[in-house]
Amino acid sequence: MENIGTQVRLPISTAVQIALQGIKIRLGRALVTISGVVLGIAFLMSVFTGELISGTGYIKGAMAQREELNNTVKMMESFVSQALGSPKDKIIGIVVAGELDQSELILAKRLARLTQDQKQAPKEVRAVGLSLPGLTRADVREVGKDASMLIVMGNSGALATAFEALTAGMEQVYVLDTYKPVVMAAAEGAHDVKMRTYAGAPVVVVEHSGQKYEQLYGDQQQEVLREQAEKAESARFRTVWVMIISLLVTIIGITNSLLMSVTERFKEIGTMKCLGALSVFIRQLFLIESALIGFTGSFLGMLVGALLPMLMYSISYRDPATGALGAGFGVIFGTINYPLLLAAGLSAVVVGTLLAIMAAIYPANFAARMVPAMALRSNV
Amino acid sequence: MQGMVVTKDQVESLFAGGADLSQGDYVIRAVDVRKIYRMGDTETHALRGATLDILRGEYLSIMGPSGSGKTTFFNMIGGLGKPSAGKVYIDQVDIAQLDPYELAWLRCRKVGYIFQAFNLIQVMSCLENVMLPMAFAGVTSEDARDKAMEILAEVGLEDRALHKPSEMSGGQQQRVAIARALANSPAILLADEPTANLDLRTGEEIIELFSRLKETRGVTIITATHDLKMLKRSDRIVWIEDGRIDRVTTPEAMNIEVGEVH
Repeated sequence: MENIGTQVRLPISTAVQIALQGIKIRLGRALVTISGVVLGIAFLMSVFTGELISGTGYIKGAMAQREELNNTVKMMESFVSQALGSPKDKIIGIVVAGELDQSELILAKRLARLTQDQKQAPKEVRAVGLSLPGLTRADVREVGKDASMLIVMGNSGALATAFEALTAGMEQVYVLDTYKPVVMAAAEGAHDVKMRTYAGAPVVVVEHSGQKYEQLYGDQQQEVLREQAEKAESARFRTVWVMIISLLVTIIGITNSLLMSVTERFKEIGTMKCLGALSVFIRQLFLIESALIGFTGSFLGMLVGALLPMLMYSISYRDPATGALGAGFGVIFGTINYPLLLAAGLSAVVVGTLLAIMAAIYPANFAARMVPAMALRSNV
Repeated sequence: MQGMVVTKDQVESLFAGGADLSQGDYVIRAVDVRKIYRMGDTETHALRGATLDILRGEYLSIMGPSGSGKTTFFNMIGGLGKPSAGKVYIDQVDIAQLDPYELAWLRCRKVGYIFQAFNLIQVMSCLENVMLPMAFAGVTSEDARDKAMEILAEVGLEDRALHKPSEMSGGQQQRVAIARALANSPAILLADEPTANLDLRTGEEIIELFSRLKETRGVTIITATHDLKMLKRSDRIVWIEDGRIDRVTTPEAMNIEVGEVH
């Protein structure tokens, strides 16, 4: 057979060019398929982005930090209310030494606001070393006088030594200490006070004689944390499950639309084969078409899935201290981990494109198997 | 049955000074071709032993009622399918021996296909349509463009090169399709009812073009057709019935036949 050669494979660029033309002319169909990919990948990406904003796991997002702060403040507040019952008609003293952290400042602000409330207002909130509207300025020697509770704040342990002086005027009163070393010091002197600290670590409760150490609040706190982790775990499992389902639906959508496209193009495929196209080329054509659709859809989906959660979290963000809206854009857009967001976006696009190529395997093989004689059929 | 059967001598006389029959210059030879289609348990015998030699440069028409095996025979001699039994030689090559890559090569360079519904790729311009077989043959796009323009000029459409098929009349589209079929200078043009979707006048133009191409390019033209005008211009007419070559006649003989029927 001296006069027969072997048909050469065409460069990919030719297939890309023809596939692009195909998409352009069937733009309506392509857009429907693309929008399916957009939805699937937007969902995937929004889960990634949500994790970056409010995740509590390995990566801690801005929302997660805010949530933690909220929990801290709530815990301190609950210590206050457990000790005092209602703050109404009570006197509360605040002593600040060193720098306040955010949670302490928020607690102070809330107490200050509480004094302006009609029903729940304490009789007086005195403060040493802290000036906020609603708080009464006090002297160190006066701050504990007739007070039901003394709150010791700040990162300095300096007050520990002056502790006895501070609590001189107090009888059967509670001290909420937000800085642990102070408690340790107080435990030394057998003062007749109940003391509680908030901390991530076990909470020390000093009662009356100072002999009794309990890990009451520590245990409770750990129980709460474990429950939260379990809930988060089951929520994550559900999310992953829904994500897999949605990606499968996307794949089936692409496969379906490509199968229709193949059926519609029987004659065109047959004609190309008559003109000398190899089955490999036809297969490439559909794989590339799907990859292009997948890439475009994933890219758009990635943008939607990244921006939408960021906007929604920004809009709904409330300042932890004041509860006011509006500061969210700065917080969310300012604190989100951009390198990780970029990595998540890239992987979403890669996943979407690969899924689209996977979805095209069956339709592409179906098209490649088409016999050239199909071109002669005038009824398809 | 009044249709006269052409003897080998008569065929030779048709090609006096043309093809050298003594050395068997056949562009296609079909020897006892059989084709069986299996659909589940039932077998359909589309061809029951068809033998035909087609000369280089011949203008051949294939006739036959639907279900006669005409389309199957047409596919076999065009390299669009392999016979279940028997041999088909295209340019002395037994197509049953070819692997898919060689078959694609053969379809790309040896045979030009022309379809009833034109089958132009709608998304491509006329020029791109004509360039496509050359792309499959590995011709660089500049060379392909030049050659495509030449062929489009040959069919009289050089000024419509950048139009899309949908912007053209049926006759123009079929001429683009013919240009596309000629792209890799094939030895054979295989046309399936090329005038069936055209009106009388444009159909005649296409027939005229075929005759001209036969003269200028020496290309073998094989058509499946019922178009009387087309049959009249052909050198031989092959009648297929019940999966076999029933008879081979000249157009003159067919005239008598038609005369009798009417």
